[in-house]
Formats: sequence, C-alpha cells, structure tokens
Amino acid sequence: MYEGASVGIVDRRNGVLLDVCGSRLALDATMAGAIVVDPTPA
Amino acid sequence: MTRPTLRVALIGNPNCGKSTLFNALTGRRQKVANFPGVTVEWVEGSYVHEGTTVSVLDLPGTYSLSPDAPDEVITYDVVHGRAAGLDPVDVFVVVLDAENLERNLYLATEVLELGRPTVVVLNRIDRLPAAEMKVDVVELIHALGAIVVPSVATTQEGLDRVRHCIARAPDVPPSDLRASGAITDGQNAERRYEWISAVMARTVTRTGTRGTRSSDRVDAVLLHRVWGPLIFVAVMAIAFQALFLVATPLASLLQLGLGSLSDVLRGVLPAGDFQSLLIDGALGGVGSVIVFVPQIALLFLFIGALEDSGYLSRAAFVMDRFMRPLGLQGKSFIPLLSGYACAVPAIMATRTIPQTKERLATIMVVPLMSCSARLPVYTLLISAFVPAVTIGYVLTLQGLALLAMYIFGTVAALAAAAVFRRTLLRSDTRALIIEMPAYAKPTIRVLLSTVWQRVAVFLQRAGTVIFAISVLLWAMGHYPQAGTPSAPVSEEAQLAQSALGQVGHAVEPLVRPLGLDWKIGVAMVASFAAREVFVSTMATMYGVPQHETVHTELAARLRDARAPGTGRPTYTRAAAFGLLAFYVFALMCTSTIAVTVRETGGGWQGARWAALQFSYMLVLAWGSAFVVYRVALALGAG
Repeated sequence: MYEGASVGIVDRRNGVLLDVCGSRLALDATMAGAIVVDPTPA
Repeated sequence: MTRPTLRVALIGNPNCGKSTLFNALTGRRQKVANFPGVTVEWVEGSYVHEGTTVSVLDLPGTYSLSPDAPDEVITYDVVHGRAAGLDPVDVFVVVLDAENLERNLYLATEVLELGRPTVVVLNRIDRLPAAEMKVDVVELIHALGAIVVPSVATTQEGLDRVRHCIARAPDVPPSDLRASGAITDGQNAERRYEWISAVMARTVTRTGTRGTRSSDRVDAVLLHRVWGPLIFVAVMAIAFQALFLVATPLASLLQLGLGSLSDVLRGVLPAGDFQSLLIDGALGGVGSVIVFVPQIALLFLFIGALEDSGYLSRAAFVMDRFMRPLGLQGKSFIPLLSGYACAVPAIMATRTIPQTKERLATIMVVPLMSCSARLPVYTLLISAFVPAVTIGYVLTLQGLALLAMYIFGTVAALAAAAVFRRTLLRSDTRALIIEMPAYAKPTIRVLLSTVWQRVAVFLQRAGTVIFAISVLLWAMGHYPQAGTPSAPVSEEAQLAQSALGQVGHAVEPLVRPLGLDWKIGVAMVASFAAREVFVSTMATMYGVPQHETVHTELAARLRDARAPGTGRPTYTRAAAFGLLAFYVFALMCTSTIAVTVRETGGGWQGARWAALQFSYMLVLAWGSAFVVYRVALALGAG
C-alpha cells in the first residue's frame, strides 16, 4: 500500500516503526527482520 | 418520498475523518474513532442544499483503488459503479488528512484519474500549526486541477463551502491528470509518488524540522517490548476497578428512584394481579436491568476514550507478539477488544483483516470476549458470593473478581482461536503492518454521544425484549394458580406449581450437576434470548420488591436462599462460581448469531458457522461450569 514511497526509520527496538510520507507505520518483528535493503545505483 | 437528485460518495484513507465529515454533513451519528478501519461497510445519509436532496455515502477507508481487505473491496465496487443495490455516484468527495497529505494524495490521484466530478476536502487543517506545516491551497488546486476545500469536520469549519462545492461539482469540468501529463497509463507507484513529491514540494512548507515527534517519544514507551504490555494490563485493571468503585453509588441512586416509583404505584393501584404484574413483573424485571446503566455507560466511556486517543492501534501492535503463536495477528486484537463492548460491531470490525481464515477464526471467538450484557450477571453473582473486602488501599476483591471474568473470556477466546487455526482454519499467519494514528485528545461531545447511543440501545432492549420476557415470566409464575382466595398458598408453593415451575423442573436435570436448582435453570433458559434477562428473571421469580436496592436485595436473597427441608444454602459459592463460568462462555445473544451468519457468507454457509459457534460455546460453557463447580467444591467452597 506504500509501494514507491520513501521511508524513514523512527524506532526499531520492537519490530520497526517507519515514517512513511509523514505517517507512522508499525511492522512486526518478523516482517522487520525480513526487510532487505538494496543499494540503488546512482 | 423525495428522490435524491445528487449522489455523493466520501472516499479517503482510513482514519482521515470521512465519518466525522459524513456526520457533520448529514446530522447522522455514524461511529467515529481514532484508528484505521472504523467504517467497514457503506452507510448512507442525506441533507438538503438549496432545494436539492444530496445523498451521501460514507465508504470504508482505503489506501488505494487496488483493494486488499473486504472493506476496501466495498469502496472499490462503489467507485466503479459495481456495488449491488446502489445507483452510480454523481460526485466523489476525496477526504485528505492535511497532516498526512503526501500519503493521502496517492488515492486522490487515482480517483482524479477517473475523470469524474470530484471535490477534494483538505480536512484537519487545524492540526497543521502543531505539525509545523503550512499548505498552499491555491497551489494544490493548480496541481490537482480540482476543487480543494479546507475544512475541520470536527468543528464544522468550512462545511458550508463543502456543501456549495459539492452542489457545483457536476457543472465543473473534471480534473484530467492524464491529459495534463501528470499521470500516464500503467504508471507505477514509484512514479506516482515522484509526482506527488513534486506537488508536496510546491504546496507544503514545513516550519519545523521533520524529525522525532513528541508522539514518537510516547510510542517509545507504549510500543516497548516490556513496558508496552505491562502498561496495557495496568490500563485494563484500572478500568475494571473503576467500573465497580465509581458506578456503584450511581447505581444505588437509580435503585432509590425505582424504589420510590414502585412505592408510588403501590399506593395508587389497588392490590391484586394488575398491581403485581406492573410492579413485580414489568418494573421488577426492567428495573433490575436498568440499574446497570452506570456500569455500562462507564464501560463504553472507557472503550471510547481508548479508541479516540489513538491508543488502540498501539495496543494491537503490542499484543501482536502474544497473538502470533495462536495463529492470529495484531489486527484481530481490535475486534476482540471491541468485543468487550458488544460482539455485533466487533464481528463487523473483522472486515479489516485481509486473510479470510484469520478473519473467520476471529469471528468465531469474538463472542467469548465479555460484552456489556454480561456485566449485570457478573455484578449480581459477584456481589452475592464474593466478599466485599479491600486489598491494600485501592483494590477490592469484587473488582478483581470482575477483572478475572474478563481475563477468563479473553484467554478462552485466544485458546479457541488457536484451536481453530490449527484445525478447521489452518493457514499461515500474515505479517502485521498497522498504521499508528496521531494521538488525539478524546472529544467529550463525541464520547458522550457514543456512550448515549450505546446506552440507548441497552435501554431499548430493556424496554422491549426484557419487558416482554419479564411480563411473560410473571404470567408463567402466577398461573395456573395453586391456591384459592380462601386458601392461599405460599409464594414458594405457587411458583413450584406454576407453568414457570414446570419448565424449571423439566430443565433441572441439566443444571443439577452444576449445583444449581430449577429456578436458576429457568433464568438460564430465558437468558438465551439476551443474557441480561438472567437478572430480571431472578428478580421476578424471587419477587424482589422495588425498595432501596434491587440488585443488592436480589444478591442477598440468592446468598440467603435455603433448600426446603435441609436448611442448607440453595446456592453454594462453588455453584455460583460455576454459573459465572457458564456466563463467561455461553453464546446468549440472537443479534450476535445473526451477524455471524451474515459475516461468514450468509445463507447455509453462514448458518453452519453460526451453528458451530453456538454449539462449541455451549459445550464449553457447560463443561467449564461443571469443572469449576467440582474443583471449587473440592477446595471447600461448598
């Protein structure tokens, strides 16, 4: 539902709390652990 | 009847204020709260503007026009004119949360792409200063090519402009983001957000740094792995203590009022059957339930405050970790918690759960959560059989016993869900992604309105179902008459010989193993229509006079009742605990059964799920009552 949006990490002590376009989105630990960040070519 | 001439649909992200705007426009009282997924089906209202009837549809929130959960499918169908029984919409009103403009614009662009008359309402502009944001509305109008109206739905600011723009929208050429080149066919989400980012750069000015918010600091505690669950348990414990401590004096006042009314009627009406019917039957039955209004109002006030503050989503996230091993995820937690108020809206709230089997499992266990209708039964039995002693300075044993009932129900619901998810409804549990709404101070007006609506439903039941059953039970208890005017018999003998007594004796073999007698059996049978009927039935059967305190008097009579011949207590503490267990687990609500049929597919398919739900809960209730009774007896509570 937020595909394509830029995100920022607010907190990651329990799952992860993201800043997505100004909204706060909480992801459970399973999903947070499965996130893989790929560097984008410049 | 006036035919609506303009059909309007409110569309927007979850929790952006659509229902608040709907209520403000139409004067309806649709439920609003501060978490995503409050509205799960379309609701229709109307208003008249300059002689035109405007029919307004409030739709479930959605993040995009690519539906995921069942509630989002409803919005998709309405937008595309595929909703059964609904005429096509003339004007779309896209509601944007000004604080979350970037995310909200995604859906707005999708709606504007349709090339239909659209009004964009920029809601919650009053929150912009606190969020250190400014929005250039004129620039936003240029960017979207659509009518944009700033508004604050909660205070009705800008509402006249919204009505005016809706009326004019059909005459305004619709925005065409495709023609302007803003959106192209097949454009992916990334490209769409790029366009939105460019619009944001032109329209939004941030006056502060976009870093950590004060709500993030609160979330660091409330979402903490250890503190989060502990705070949640503490909040619940305080609430249930308050139910007993605060509501009891208010209930006593109500009882005094009912007692006075009874005295007045007794003085005015001649003694006889009619007086008895009115005072012992109707007033006794209905009054014994009405005295629980303060408890129920407090329960709804508490749940409403949780909903409006934004805490409910936090609680769902915190509880996700504990629910996952049981096969449920945090999104199931909100319907379960709503079940403390009433199972009917709670079952409907499961529409926000995208995964079908998770949703079905949640529906099947929601009625195990102790709803407000159980409160009168709990209060009566706890008052009668749990000593009123204080522990420490603030805790009472009766308050803790009440909390225990809610914990038993919750644990049973989670355990039953685990069984369903490992047997009939086996599937992988979906990962949790949940939006944390901004914290908000609960609005007193909205809170009181919600409480009043709920109390009104309770009073309506008291005035209809409970009234009718009370009168019927009175008649069954008085006829056929065992004595004659010249040779009257005792009340006990009359009841035993009456139609009610015969029904009671017929069901006695089922309740005797639970340490209960035929009178309780009658009350249990009667309360299958609605749980709170248990209290009114007992009040009617024990002929509790409307003096001073009805439920205190009834509690005393239950406690002091003695078996004829032996002189031993009719109801032991062990039997009372077993009875409490029965009411924790039994499904005694026709409305819940009906909504389960509807939400599980309707027709025979829905009926089968509802039958399974009713049956397993009945077996669980009787089995638990039997075990609790026997264990309590063995522990010396006889």
